[in-house]
Amino acid sequence: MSDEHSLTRTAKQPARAALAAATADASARNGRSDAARPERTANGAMISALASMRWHEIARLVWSEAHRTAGLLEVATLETDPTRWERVLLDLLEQTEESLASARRLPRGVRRQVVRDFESDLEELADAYRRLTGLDATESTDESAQAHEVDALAADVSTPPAEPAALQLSWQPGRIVAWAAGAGSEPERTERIIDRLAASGAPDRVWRPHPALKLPGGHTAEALVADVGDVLGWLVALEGPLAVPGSSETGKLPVGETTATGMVAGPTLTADESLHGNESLNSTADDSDADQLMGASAAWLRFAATVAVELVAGGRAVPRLHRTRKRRNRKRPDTAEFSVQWQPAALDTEKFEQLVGTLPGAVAASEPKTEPRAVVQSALVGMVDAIMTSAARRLDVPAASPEPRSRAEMAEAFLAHLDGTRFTGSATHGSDLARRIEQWARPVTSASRQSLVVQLDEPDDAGAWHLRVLALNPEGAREPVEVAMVSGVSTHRTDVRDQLTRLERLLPVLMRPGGKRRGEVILSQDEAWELMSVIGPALQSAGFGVRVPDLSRDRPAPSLRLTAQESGGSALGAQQLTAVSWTAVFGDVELSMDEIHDLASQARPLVRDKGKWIALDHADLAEAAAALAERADVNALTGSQMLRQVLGLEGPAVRGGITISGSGWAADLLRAATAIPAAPRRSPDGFVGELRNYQADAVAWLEFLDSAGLGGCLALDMGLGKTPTVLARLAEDHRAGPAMVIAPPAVVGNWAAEAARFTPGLKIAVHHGPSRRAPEELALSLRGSAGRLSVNGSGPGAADEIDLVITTYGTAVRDIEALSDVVWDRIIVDEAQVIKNHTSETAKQLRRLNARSRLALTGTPIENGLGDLWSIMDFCNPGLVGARAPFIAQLQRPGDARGAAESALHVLNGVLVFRRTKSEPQIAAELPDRIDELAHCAMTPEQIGLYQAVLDQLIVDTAESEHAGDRRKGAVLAAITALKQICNHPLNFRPAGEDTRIEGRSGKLDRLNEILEAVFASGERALVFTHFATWGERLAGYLSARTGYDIDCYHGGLGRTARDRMVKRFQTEEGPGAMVLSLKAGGTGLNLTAASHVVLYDRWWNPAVEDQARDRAWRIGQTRTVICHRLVCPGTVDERVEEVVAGKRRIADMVLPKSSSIGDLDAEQLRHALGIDTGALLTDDLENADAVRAELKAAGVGGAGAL
Amino acid sequence: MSSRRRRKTSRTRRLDGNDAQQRQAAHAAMSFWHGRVNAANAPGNGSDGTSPADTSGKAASEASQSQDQVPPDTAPPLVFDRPRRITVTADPTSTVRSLGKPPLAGREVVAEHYFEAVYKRAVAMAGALAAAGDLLADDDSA
Repeated sequence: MSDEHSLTRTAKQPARAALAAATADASARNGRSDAARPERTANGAMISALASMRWHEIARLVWSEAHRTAGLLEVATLETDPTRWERVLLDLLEQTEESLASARRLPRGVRRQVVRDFESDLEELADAYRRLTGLDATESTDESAQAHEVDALAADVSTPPAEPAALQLSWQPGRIVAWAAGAGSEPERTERIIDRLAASGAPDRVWRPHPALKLPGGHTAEALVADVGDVLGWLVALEGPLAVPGSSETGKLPVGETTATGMVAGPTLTADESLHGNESLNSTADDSDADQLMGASAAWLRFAATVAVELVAGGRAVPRLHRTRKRRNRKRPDTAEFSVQWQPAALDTEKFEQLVGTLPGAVAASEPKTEPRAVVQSALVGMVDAIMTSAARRLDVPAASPEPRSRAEMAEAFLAHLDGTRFTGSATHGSDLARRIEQWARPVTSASRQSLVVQLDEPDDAGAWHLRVLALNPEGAREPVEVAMVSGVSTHRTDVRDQLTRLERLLPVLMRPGGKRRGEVILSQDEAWELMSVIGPALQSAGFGVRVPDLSRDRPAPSLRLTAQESGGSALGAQQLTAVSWTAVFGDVELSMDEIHDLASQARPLVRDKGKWIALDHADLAEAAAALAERADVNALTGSQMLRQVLGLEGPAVRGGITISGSGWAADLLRAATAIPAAPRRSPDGFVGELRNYQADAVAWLEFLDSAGLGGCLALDMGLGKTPTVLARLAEDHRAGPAMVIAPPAVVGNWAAEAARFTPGLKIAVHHGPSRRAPEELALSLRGSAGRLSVNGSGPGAADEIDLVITTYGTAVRDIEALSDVVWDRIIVDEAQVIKNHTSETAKQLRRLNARSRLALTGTPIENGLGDLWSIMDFCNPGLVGARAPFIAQLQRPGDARGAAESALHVLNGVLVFRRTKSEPQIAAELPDRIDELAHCAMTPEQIGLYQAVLDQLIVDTAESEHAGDRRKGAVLAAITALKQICNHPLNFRPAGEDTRIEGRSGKLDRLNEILEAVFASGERALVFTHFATWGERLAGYLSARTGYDIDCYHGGLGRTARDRMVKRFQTEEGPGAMVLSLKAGGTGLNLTAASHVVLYDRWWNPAVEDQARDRAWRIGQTRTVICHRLVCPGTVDERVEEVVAGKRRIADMVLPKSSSIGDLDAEQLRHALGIDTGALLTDDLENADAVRAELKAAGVGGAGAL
Repeated sequence: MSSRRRRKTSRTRRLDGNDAQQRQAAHAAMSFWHGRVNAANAPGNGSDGTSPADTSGKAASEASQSQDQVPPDTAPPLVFDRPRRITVTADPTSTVRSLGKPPLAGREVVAEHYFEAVYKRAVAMAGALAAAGDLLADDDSA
């Protein structure tokens, strides 16, 4: 080793020795024998072992690694913190380079070896750097490349991820500048800015070009500008997703989510989405969202605009006089130009600071050097001024002097130019006026103004309301304003005094003499109310704090409370007299007559309810007082009278009606009615299936009726499922005794079918027809015997245990003697409009039935008037609703018939009536699009007689043509058509018969009438399809005459124009209506969505044809549930067609045994195939039918020739 | 192998890096495009028990100063809340009335009429603007 080298080594050695010593010290301090051991966190992350080491300790390890002398543990220690390792390595490289540069300046003799040593060290360090980073550590000499690398590095560390371009808005005094860009992305061209403005709903034709804006990063953005007054409405309503920065973890906030700062996030795009530009944008937001993407500057200006609008909406703006030209006109001395400018007043400092604190630089992009506070101030002034001057422009004011010279003229000019237009006037007087106006407005424009608080305490025992004015002292505590006026610094005292003066102008009562100190006063109740209701909000608008007791804005309607006195524990019934008392109630405040008189004597009566004060109206007090006076003598009522009072059936009370409290039958009853569970079970015990929500509610209501021992009317609209609802209740509670359903013949079959389907556990008996059991026999078969009266001496003990008897009105009346001897648990009258005439024989006879509970089912409880409802209600609860006339009088409501009917039902709803209609949205939401109902129709004796006669003739005809197969076949098919016609109506079979009456001769027609009555009562429209066009015409004429509505018949014999006109009329007319259509002509192609009911009067073999007909109404464009009624006469060929349609048998099977043809049928087979099944037939009058049959046979009616 | 110029280093540079400089640059960009940290975090905003009016003096100044601090890189994205629902005053001139008669020589009385007319119209217009932005307070929230 040379001397030079030796010298060099000598120079370097102390440092290395020091390094080694220091490292050893550090190791010793840390209790380690070697370098630090790498550690890991619980989740496996590496903990930096270098973080706790000093630089030279790390340098020693780095040198060791560079010299490749480091042990595994040392290398592992470095690897715990590559960043620090790299930085120390770079430091060593730099030191070595500097040392090398110095060595090269050494004298030649020693230089060579020293340089070689340092070059060797440098090479090792460079290798180490390369191993660590993969990068070359040598310096580049290419300056341009260096510059590029610097930029790239800078970009690496400072450039945020590119964000998608968004609409940006900047503020210029009085103007809004629009441009589009995002951080790190190219600004958009003018066309795109226009697109974005259009997408955001900005007004057009107000934007004009603006010089390009210079953005950070050297970009320039094209821009448009508009006057703020032209775009303020758009700005306030501006909506769109907000572009936010940051990674996907921190940047994405769901719409409406509140951030940690309590602010609400708009829709956002993540940085990832930003980096992928439009492609990513499309993956999370549609094109519309991309166009509506809103930059923070736009959101900020929207926020500022709403603050400005809020200020003006509160009247918080004041004018100032602004001198627009500083230099005076030399030719006209003492002349200057002025304008009135409006500025915010009593501005909430918090909001101002919020605006300053959140101001994006982009808002000031056109004037980037403006201070944030100045930008906020300018924006608020500009926006407030825009609204105020716009309002002033709408005001016609007298013209002022063209060049005001005096003080008075300047004042006049000021008022004439409140719209901001400039005017020229005396510079001296103008400046003086400007100064005086500025001083005048200072209490509401000063940034450091005091905010006084007006505090009204609750009244004391003497009814005095204590009002105090409080100020904030320098320590931040509230103190009486009089104290504040004499404490603190002079400016504080002056400001408090100014604010109090301002307050006293708005609340002159403060200056009333007699107060304990200034700013404190006792208010009367009237004054307190005035402060709470009127002056308080005005004070808040003027920038004062107001703390007053809560005043309810509601004006409670007066109601009466009927309190039934304690009954001493005895169970009182509906007819038991009970002592009662009366009070008036406002909200929750109960007032006696004396208290009402006291309040009525006050100018502004106030009562306290639920922590809030309520101002009562004198008219309401008078109404309540009159109602109480009217009932002053009513000290005792029966339970039913109380119920009638509460239901409003005993004369007018007050607007809020009558409530009941205390104990007793009526009170308990009404309490139970309000306690009906809100969400009852939808699958009651014993019921197979799931009820809809309203049906479950109805079942709960039925349970309430049972518990109260009341009857009621289940008034679900047609198609809402009254039958399964009642069956569900019967399934739950059928042990107490037998129930009986009395229904029109058409729905008896439906009851039986639905009972078998939904309540298979119930034992059912259909008590109808000539083959029905004897009433006495039926009585013996009913469930339970305890309540059964003796039936013609027969004792109990039958084995059938029938739960539910289903019968018709006719049968029930016919067997009334026996049936009325039974104690029924429940009597249910379906289609209860049958008993709407209380004087009818049916209604009278049915009232004889002995039942614990009576239930009426109808979708139209009021068809002709409130008398219908009374009849039904009086049947259900005899005597409870009082006499007919007062019932009608009390429930009479103004308006159209339907509305009045619904109002009346509403009165009773929930107690005696359960009413739901398809028009209620929550009901409609539960309904399927389509409901198919099968209506079983009775046959009249005439129809049965005709039917039998035709069948007899067929058998004769076929017997005569025994050897002519084709003729036999033709005769059978013709007979089938004839039989179907007879099921429709005798006139359909014999249109030219002597008897042209149409009413009362067909069960199907009766059922159709019932359906249409219900449909029309609901204000709906119906289609009636029949296969026979001529019958359709006759039917339409009959229905028009019967209903009073013009009902057309659409069939193939009409011309195109006539048919189109019919369809158009049906579709465009509103309210009740119907149209009869032939299945062939009207079954396809028509759009008749005005109808929500379809009646298939007769059946066709092919179900697809029927579906086509039904789909005239049930199609696109239909918004209501369509109910399809299929009319069938059980026990006839009609029912066999129904079975074919339902897929239960094939057409051929209907009449033919296997391997037979029509021509092979003998007489017995024909009777079996086409004859009447008397067991299924819905008629009670077969004897008359036989008479008719004989008569027709004698007359020769029924042959093929009659068809 | 890629070539990269080493950074200029300083012997006094701290080992924990020059993140502050980077963050400063990032903050500048953030501030331009997305605004500064939300004032809701500043003192004197009412959350410390003081009323909004309390921020007008010293507290407001402190609030302003705090805005100049560099926010952390992980600050939540800045969003601008809508103001609370806007109530249209039933007394449009209460503020201007509280100032007393305007200093308009000989025109003090007529000025009140002018002001009343302008304020009524302006408040109605502001109400319409608030309605357009679906910002009108209903009676209950008023």
